[in-house]
Amino acid sequence: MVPSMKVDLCVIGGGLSGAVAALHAAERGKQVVLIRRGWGGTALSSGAFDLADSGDLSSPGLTGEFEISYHLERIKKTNPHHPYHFLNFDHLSPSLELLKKAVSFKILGSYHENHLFLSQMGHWLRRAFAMESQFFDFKAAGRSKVLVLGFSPILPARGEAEGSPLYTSESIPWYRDEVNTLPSMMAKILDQPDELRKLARHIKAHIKSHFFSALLVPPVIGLDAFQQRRSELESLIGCPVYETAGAENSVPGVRFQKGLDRALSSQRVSVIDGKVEKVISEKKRILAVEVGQKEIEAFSFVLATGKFLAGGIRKKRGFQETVFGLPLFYKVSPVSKIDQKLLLRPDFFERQPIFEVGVKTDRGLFPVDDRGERVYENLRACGTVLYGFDPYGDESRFGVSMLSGYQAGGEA
Amino acid sequence: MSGLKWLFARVNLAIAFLLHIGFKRWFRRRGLNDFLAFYAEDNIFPLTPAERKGLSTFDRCIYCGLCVSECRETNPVFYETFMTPANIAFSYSRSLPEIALNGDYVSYCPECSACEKVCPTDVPLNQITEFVKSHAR
Repeated sequence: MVPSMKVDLCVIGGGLSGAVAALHAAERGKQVVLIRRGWGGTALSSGAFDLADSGDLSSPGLTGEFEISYHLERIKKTNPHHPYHFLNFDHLSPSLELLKKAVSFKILGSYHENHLFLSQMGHWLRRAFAMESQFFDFKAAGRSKVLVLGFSPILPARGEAEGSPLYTSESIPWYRDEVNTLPSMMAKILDQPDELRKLARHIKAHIKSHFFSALLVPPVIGLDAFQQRRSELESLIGCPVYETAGAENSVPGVRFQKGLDRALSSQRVSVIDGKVEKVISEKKRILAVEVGQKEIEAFSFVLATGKFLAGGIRKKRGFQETVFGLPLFYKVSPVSKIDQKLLLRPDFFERQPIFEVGVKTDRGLFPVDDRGERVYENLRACGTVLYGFDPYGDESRFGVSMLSGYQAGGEA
Repeated sequence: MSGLKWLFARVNLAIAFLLHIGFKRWFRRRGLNDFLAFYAEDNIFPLTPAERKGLSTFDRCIYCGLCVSECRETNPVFYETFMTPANIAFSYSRSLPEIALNGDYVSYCPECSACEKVCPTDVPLNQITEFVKSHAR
């Protein structure tokens, strides 16, 4: 006999949308269980949040379209299957308030205008929200002297706009002599106040910080205590310190995921580590799922497993949704009826249509089959597992995850 | 003439076969021992079938470093004491000869499986640690 557990809501997937769904349901007084296999796309992300953007910043300058509504309209016009067509934008501000309260660190940004971020490799990114330490205002800083610091061998790229340099970039060696240094290792080391002091001394020995109005460093200044460490570093060096936007797989994503984890435990959402091995269903209702040696009975279920990166969708010969075996779609037709060669493009930098494959839902986020009927009465899908948008290329994944997660958690 | 050749070849084969049957046991034992002694210097050792099966799952590591951020044993002096889970998975999935040498660094791992719980690609980090510990010297 397998020990069973009875709850109101069972969320499968522990990324952003799953956590938001669980937190929202818990806030409404539901008893929630969250099943996850590990950390996924959220922890591997850059930690800066996008609502809508076009993705191509052709000129590395301070000019360009920053209005979010402009990009929103463009997304809706060019992509008739995008989840933004049915998601309710009134949920945006309550869901962000929920998130801000949950992660317990400052998130800055605006619903109307994108902010300009400089990435570690010298790319310009437009994002709506980010944590305070990354929120350096390039537009306001103008031509004043900004130093972008890298730890060799990575030299931050030089930025120029209209012929004149926007910032100075310099690369100094990392002050310790490790062989392999991962960003999360560096951040973990700098969580120690002693090590931070050593880094400050090292930076001061290499550069003359009083020449510069602000210093941009890689996003590795602390992992758990990053807010204190940053202000300590500012007082040690004697000039404002900001962090550059990380590329994918960077420390801000981990901080963010850790914040979500803390929120889940404080809201008494029980997190179960494991894979769903068996689904018990009757007619059109899911009764329970089995994880490891546990059986979890729930009134309703939320699927927030993500796409290929997090393992929610797998491609072996055909495409499979890994938990419930739901039908997958690309644009209007089931993915099994599409020539798979059309979904992959030979050029690495091109948009890959394969990432738009996902679970099709109706307006209530219930997954549907090819006749438009609900597959299960009590299963909702949210987050990047939804079809119709490319979470890696569309620059709208934060908005979709937040809105759909909030809706799924509110209605379940 | 061709019949004689045929006979000669068969007799030769038969003698070789008998020799092979007779000396097989000795030769194999000695050969394996010689082989192991020769490669022991380079820390190359035979793997059991179970280990060989596990080894292919070790190389799922994408070196993202999420395990490091959850590891309690990773501390500022980790390179003197402990190697961090990411480095264990990364190096041992790719180079067999260093396993025995780095046993010391792994011995600090308490096998709390905090790293395994967050791994996005399901690398069996505990299994790797056990594997390294069992081959450490």
